[in-house]
Amino acid sequence: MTDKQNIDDKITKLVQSLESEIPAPVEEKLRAKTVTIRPVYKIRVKRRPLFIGILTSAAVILAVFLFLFPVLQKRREPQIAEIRTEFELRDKNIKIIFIQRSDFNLFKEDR
Amino acid sequence: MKINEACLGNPSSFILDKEEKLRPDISRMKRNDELEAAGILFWELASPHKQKLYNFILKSLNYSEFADDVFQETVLRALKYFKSFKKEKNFTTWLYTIAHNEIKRHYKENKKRTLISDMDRLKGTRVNNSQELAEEVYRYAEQLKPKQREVFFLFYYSGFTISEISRIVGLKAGNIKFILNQARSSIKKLIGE
Repeated sequence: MTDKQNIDDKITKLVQSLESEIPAPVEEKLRAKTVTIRPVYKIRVKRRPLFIGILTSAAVILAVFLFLFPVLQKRREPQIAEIRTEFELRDKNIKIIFIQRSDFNLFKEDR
Repeated sequence: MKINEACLGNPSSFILDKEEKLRPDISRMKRNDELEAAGILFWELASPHKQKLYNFILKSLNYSEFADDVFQETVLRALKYFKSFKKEKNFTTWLYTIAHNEIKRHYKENKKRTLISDMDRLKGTRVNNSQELAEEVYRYAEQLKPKQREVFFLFYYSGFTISEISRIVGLKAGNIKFILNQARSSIKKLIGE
């Protein structure tokens, strides 16, 4: 007999050495209750597979996100890229165009 | 025709025929007979396991006062759904699966309340072996998690195989072997082997 079997047998003996009788009041209660019980078939509720639920909820979250993202997004103010000021001296056939750009620093000295 | 005694006492088991005479409702009688037979068959199958089942629940719940209620619920549920039991399956495993579910339900319902084990009830039990060692083993079992304790007693007390325990408790065979190995090595130290 192996060591494992040996210890298993010992534990089994020790565990099975303690045995309790079913108390008489419990038996009586049980007997009284069984009179009213009628055997029935257990109706098994078919559960939807888990992955269907996960897929559905993921699709719903994605749809909500796609719908709400453009709605909740803050409207950006249009940025002025450049300001053009045109002067036309018709009699001298001259056209002057001032172009003011964002990268042109008015108060910065050129190095 | 032999009239079922259960039907005689039940006025609803009689119907009026075309001539407005009372006659026994055969369809109902057959149903009653069927139900009665199911009940008898259940007790025939369950009676030899009653004592062992009670002790298994008692041990799994650390000899708690709730063990009696859980035992009652197990038997009543098994009787109620006995018609769903498939004949090709093992009745004992089916019965213990219900017990396992009832124990699980008990722990779920009493999550907030701490389960007070009543190891003093051990003293009122029949002892065939060295009591001190047995108490050591039970004290070890008391520390285990509920599911582990169930596995422990299903193997060492009820004598189920690992595959049967796997079906009852719903754990993989590897996990059950792990629990049993841990128990084996711990108890080995406890009893000084």
